[in-house]
Amino acid sequence: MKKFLINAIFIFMICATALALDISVKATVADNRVAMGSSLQYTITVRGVQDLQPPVLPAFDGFDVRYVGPATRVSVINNSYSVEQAFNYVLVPTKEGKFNVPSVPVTVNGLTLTTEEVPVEVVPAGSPSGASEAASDPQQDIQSRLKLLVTVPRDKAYVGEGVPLTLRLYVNQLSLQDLSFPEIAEQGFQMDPFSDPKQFQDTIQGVDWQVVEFSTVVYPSKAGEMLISPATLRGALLFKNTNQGDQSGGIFDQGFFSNFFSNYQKRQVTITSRAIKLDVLPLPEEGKPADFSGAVGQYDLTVDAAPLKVKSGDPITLRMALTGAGNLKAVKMPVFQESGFKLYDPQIKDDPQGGRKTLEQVIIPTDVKITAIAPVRFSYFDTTTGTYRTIERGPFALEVTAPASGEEFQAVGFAQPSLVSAPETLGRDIVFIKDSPGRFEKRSGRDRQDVVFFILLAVYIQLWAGFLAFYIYRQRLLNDPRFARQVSAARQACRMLQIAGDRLRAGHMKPFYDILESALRDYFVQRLELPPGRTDVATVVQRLKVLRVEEKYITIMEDISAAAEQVRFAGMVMPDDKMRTHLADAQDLVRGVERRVK
Amino acid sequence: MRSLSSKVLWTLILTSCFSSFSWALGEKEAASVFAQAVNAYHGADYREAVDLNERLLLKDFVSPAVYYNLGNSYLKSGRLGKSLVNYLRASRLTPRDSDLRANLVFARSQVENYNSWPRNSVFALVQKFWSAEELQWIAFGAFVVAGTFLLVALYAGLRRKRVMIGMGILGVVALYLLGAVIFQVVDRSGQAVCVERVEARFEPSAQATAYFKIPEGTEIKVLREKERWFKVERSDGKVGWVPIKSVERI
Repeated sequence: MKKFLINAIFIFMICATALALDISVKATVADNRVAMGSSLQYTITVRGVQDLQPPVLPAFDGFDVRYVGPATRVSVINNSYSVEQAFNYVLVPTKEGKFNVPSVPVTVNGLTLTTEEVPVEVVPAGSPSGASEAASDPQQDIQSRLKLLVTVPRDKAYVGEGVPLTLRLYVNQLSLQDLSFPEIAEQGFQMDPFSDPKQFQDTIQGVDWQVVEFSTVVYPSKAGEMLISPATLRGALLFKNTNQGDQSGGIFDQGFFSNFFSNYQKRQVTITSRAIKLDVLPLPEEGKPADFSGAVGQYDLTVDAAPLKVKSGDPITLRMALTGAGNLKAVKMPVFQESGFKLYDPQIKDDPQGGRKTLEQVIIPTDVKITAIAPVRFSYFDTTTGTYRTIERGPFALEVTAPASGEEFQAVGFAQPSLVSAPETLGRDIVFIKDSPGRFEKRSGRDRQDVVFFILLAVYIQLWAGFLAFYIYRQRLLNDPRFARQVSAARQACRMLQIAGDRLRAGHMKPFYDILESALRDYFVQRLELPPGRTDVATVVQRLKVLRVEEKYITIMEDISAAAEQVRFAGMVMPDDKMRTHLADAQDLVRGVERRVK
Repeated sequence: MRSLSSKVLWTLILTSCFSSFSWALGEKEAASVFAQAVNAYHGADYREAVDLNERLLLKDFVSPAVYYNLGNSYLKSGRLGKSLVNYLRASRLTPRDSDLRANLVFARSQVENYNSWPRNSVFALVQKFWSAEELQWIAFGAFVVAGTFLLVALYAGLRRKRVMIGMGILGVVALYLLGAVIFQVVDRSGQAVCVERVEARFEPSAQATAYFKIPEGTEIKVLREKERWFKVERSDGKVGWVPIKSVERI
């Protein structure tokens, strides 16, 4: 018995020493899978001490073991000193199968601690496994290195009961940035906003995982089997740009010195968890209080009123504070309603983070006979006991005296006479259907309506622009004599050339040339604005040359003038075809000058 | 040539007469179907009411009352999205109908997380008062008045200052109304309603990642169409792809 006691005390002292020094040992591997022909790093990390001898790994089935060397890390964070020493080994598989790296005893200051067993699977050569094989199937490897787990502490809850929900993102050997908050489709439940994420490290089956934890509370809103739909989380995966430099590394080759100056790229990733089932129980009908308004959880209510000695018409402030665990945002505060008081609208403030909801209401006693403020009741369903509970606070003794004459309180915002009545509840529904169809139209006709509008508008605008242009033209004719002369010149010339044509058909040669020459002379006087005395051919030709009229028109002008002189003064007889040519040339000349001289 | 022209003219006249005659016959039949739909609604047979009203639309007979009753029938049969589509169609034809407004407000209040589209454009104001057809006639009338005023003023020789002031006012009104018509045409082209609860995805594929959810009855904008998918925008500006069958254009 004595020996046993001594041993117990000794063991206790050793454990106490380890705890006091915060010494711990763990064994980790880079991955739980390794392919034949490649190797796996195995590390034993001892926290809290340094200058240890490397632990000796016992020989075990499936692997050749080679010790690589130690590494020591010392850190000082917030004046807290910590040290850890890592012993690295290389495990080279000798055959395929599932193996366990056995527990390794590590002696620290006379105390022997052991690592946990680490399972490792050896797969055939060429199979995707571990970091070295990552580049062969990056997508699959990313999925195996990112996990999003949703957990709830229980699988049953009452309607309206808060169920804590924890979302953990596990990341292994990946650099993940720009993490969004998780998204969960709210179907059949309400949900609080997610809390700020916590970050820590966790070792699972000998593999280190970075963990980001989000937490929230969900409140089921209807009974039955509820499915919390999968949560999604978005982030950017940082990986080395394989298009540059040495491409042998792939996404996971992230040695510090080799990659420090390399070019990195971001890839957007979406991580999705599994859905979770929750059995939602209905609230029992038995024992449900009449004033129960749906509050579920555990609550406490405090109520106070002040002052409690007032004159009739003086205001009293009624304060209520509801605290506890539950969906405070959705909980309805107790309603104070009592005859003999004028009531102002309550001011309700939510502080769900602080687990508190408050109400402040001004009430005014209107009768000196009032002796108390009636008790305030709040009923809720207690999920721990599965029963309804009612909290009652009050009554509060009140002393109301009559005010002195002229000191009566005038309440603001109440119509006279003011009777406190329960708020009227109005039904809501749609207005009834129409009995008459009205004027039917073709749906296809309606579709063409826009086109018709724009066509009509375009036609109208064109018409309107035409009228406007005509107005402007008329105004110019009236106000600009030069313009009017120029416009009438061609018209007059055409008329005279028609008369000349008549003479030609009648066989009157001399009058034909007289009219032809006169038509051209008058035309040029008006069109070229020549002085009446300067209408000789030379002047006209000179002006036409200045205006850069084509040479053929100048020749025509000279030809017609010469022919007219020959007929008039030399009595020459012109053949009919020549006269017709001269008439056509004259018309051509007028048209040519009109085109050239604007 | 002359006889050919007269043949074409006669053919057109006869076709027009026949078309009017058949439309008049159809209108009688449509009124009868409408009455049957009203009776079905009275008897709380909302599905029958929906079928009868839809039959009218299939036969190309449209009226604000048909859309309104169809909206009511869909709402009573629990099809919130379809109901909103038809209320909005009726609203385009009779925006001042108070019954319709009340029902539209009620239907929108039933939509989960309803958010109205921001109406920041000055041209959107008139849509509350006038239907598209009314607005087009009013805009056309404003152009006619403004143009006629200018021509009459010019021909009558009114003083230039008066003409400028009058033309300025009428011109601004006419241009504003034209802007409102163009805005309405552009705005309504993409308007649509989700007729079932759907998840918008990042890509037009059923395997694509879900981006955001769109509850039934949500008013959205269709931005483009690709195969059997619509690219849609939610009122908060989020854009995603949804299957065509889950969306109905207004």
